[in-house]
Amino acid sequence: MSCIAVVSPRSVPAVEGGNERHWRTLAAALRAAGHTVDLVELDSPESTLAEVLSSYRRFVQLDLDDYDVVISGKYPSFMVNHRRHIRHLNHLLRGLYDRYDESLGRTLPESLGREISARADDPSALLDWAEARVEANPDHPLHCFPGPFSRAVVHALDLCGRRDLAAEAAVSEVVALRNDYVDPERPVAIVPPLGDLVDHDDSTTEIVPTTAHPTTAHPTTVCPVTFVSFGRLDAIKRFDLIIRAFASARLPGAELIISGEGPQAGSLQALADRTPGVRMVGRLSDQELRATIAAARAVVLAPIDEDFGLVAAEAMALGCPVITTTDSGGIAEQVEHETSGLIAAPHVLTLGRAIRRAGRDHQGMEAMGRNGRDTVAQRTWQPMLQLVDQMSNEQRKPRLLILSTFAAEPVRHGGHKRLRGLATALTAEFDVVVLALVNTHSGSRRRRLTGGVEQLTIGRSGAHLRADFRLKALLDTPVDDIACHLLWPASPTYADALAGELDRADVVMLAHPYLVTSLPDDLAVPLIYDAHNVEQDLKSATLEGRPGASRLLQAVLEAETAAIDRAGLISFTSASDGIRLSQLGAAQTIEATNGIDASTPRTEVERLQARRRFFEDQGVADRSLPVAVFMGSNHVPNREAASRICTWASQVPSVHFVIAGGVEIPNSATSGANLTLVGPFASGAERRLLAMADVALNPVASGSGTNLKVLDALAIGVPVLTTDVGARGIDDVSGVHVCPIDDFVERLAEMADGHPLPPPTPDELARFSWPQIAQPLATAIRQRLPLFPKSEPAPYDPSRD
Amino acid sequence: MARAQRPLLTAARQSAPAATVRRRLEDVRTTKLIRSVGDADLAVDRIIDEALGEAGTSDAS
Repeated sequence: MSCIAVVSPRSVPAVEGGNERHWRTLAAALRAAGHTVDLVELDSPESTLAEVLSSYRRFVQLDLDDYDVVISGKYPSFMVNHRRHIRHLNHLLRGLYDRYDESLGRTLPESLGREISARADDPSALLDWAEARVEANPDHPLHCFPGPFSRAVVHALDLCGRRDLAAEAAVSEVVALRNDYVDPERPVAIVPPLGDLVDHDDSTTEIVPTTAHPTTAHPTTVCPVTFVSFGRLDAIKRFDLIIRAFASARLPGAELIISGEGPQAGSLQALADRTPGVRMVGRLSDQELRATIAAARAVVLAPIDEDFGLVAAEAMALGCPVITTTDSGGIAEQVEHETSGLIAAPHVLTLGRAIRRAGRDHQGMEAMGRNGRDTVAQRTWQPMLQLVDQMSNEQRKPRLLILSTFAAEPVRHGGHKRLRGLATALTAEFDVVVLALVNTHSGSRRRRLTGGVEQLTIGRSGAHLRADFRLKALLDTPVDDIACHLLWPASPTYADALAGELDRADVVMLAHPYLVTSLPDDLAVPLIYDAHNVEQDLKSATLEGRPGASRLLQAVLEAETAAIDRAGLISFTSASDGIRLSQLGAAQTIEATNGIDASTPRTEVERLQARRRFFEDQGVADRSLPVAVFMGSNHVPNREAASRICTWASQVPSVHFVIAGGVEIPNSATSGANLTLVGPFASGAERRLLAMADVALNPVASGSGTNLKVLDALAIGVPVLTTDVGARGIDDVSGVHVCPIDDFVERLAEMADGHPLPPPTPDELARFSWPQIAQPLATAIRQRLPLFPKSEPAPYDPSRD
Repeated sequence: MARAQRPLLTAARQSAPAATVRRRLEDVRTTKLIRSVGDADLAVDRIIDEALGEAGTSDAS
């Protein structure tokens, strides 16, 4: 356990806000994990340049050598100098960065620029020089704050402060993406802070239903419709926009409560007095605020480019949906539109429409509130605890570079799951870097994922993405993975990033074969090919007969053949794939099946809660039927499976069928009495959707590799009814029930008739844990790295002969 | 032809997200491309070549 200093600036005069709660809750989490923690706060006035410089100096001079680890965050606390220094950044001095008034100019006299550059590596010298200069001539126009001189000095100081960080985190993606905030060459972990308005342990506890008609507990007619907004009353929070939008919503009898204090209190009160239904209540105690939020239809928040927005997280933790604007930064990042809240353009009419929609849709907003609460309940300080733990492990591991046409996170389909699961498990032996050429126009982002994997995502170029769109239109199915074999040169940023990563890599792995030609012919390090599938078999089955398919299938053949030829080791996911890959020329192969993060079977209470929640959210009338769930991405075999299930719904009325995920449904299919089409679901809702199932379905007729969706269901303790194709590599597990597609209807009818399918035995699933699967593969890779022997060979012992 | 499509696309812009509109435009472009080259495989080659050319990397292909 470590002795940790959590360092934070204290505003002058002291004001309790999100920043203070952030550090307080982090310190508490570190203490709960067994660390000794001191919260070190230093006064940091910032109303003049002289004050700002003196605040920077206090942290530069702070001696924290007696601590094992230092965690800083808001400027200028990260100026502390420590070997194991983690920065959890919320923001820099925004008035000199993203909120800098460009009319003040950026240009300095050349001589001043040189003076700053000469001291750029020594913050004490830079502070001495800048303070002396300001003190000598405080009224010099150049010394105005903010202004070009203060901007240049603070930028130089901040660069010094971040130069020697051991690890970097940010409270949101929004913060990590701001210009000049983080070092693009250092991976940033995105770690949302937790508030303390709600006890997070309590927030995850649901009440077991005690009534046969739970919906009657939510009378829609007697509750007045109330909206709440809270925070510091200043211009950047745009309470005036919220009041005007509320007025434009024209909701008779509805009320908008605004809580908080600040410089705009007077003008906002005047506006509220002119607007029916708006009530300003000043600052509320935490208890009063909790009660107000819990009773509200929604919380409305419209700040400009918030770092994170702890207020939104706290509202969501209380089960209250959030209505926000597209430009609210961290708040818009937290809210999933139409899932945990509503996101509107930042205008009176558009925000007003969202408020009006919320006012009229009680059931929908309640469902969003529950989804938001689920999202927040999943957040923990675990990623920060992991960063602290990594500080004590400074042994350099070989660097494994994985090339992929999709990212390991966010997880949307089985390929993501395998990439994330295997890559995370391999971090036990390697520093793992995933370089992903992703199908978005998102630029370059270097992130540290929970679990330790470094992920560098490169957004495809406009030309590349346009070609992806056109090929999808031509073949009527996405082929952007295959097309990377031909199109990666159209994204030059990827080639640059690859060159940089290859310089540092000790071994390269291909996840899928489609980036093999981006590797130089004279690759100087070993190459591993992780074959998720036998690509030519899989793609032939799904593309054959489509316009343009033969050209794309030729690309598949080229890519897979090159990967097999060039790789010194090929990992495969099922015995049948291993045989097939050997037929295709694979020489050195090793099995690495698909896996699961952990097997945590559902309890009966969880199953009942999940069922109740599903029926409430979806408004299902008949809640007595057994539930059969199919989850799938928009992969062709999944589309065919979904189409079959839609047909079965009319043939087996005694079972409620659920289709969830990105899989496209036949146009003729609609939700009905015993069929619910969920579509894409909220992040984190997968377990709940599976936990309610009496059976998970996998009626796929084609495919390759192993189906992760089967393992996911088994890990929760749900039996699976599947075809033999869908059970590849998993058919010997007790909860897997294999039958021909033609027999599914009969088996499901039997289940509804009182013959439930037996669930899996948890002990059987141990062999599917990712660490266990990855270990032999890691050993095989290490054997190909002479520079990094895993351990010294044991001395010869003649007695063992 | 182009003039006849314009009201349809304008209506689409008003009701659909930008990505959807872009896909519809690509559908139209792709259909015209297949008609012009007469063969879907050739259309694939044309799409790839145009993308590589647009990115200034046609030599790399």
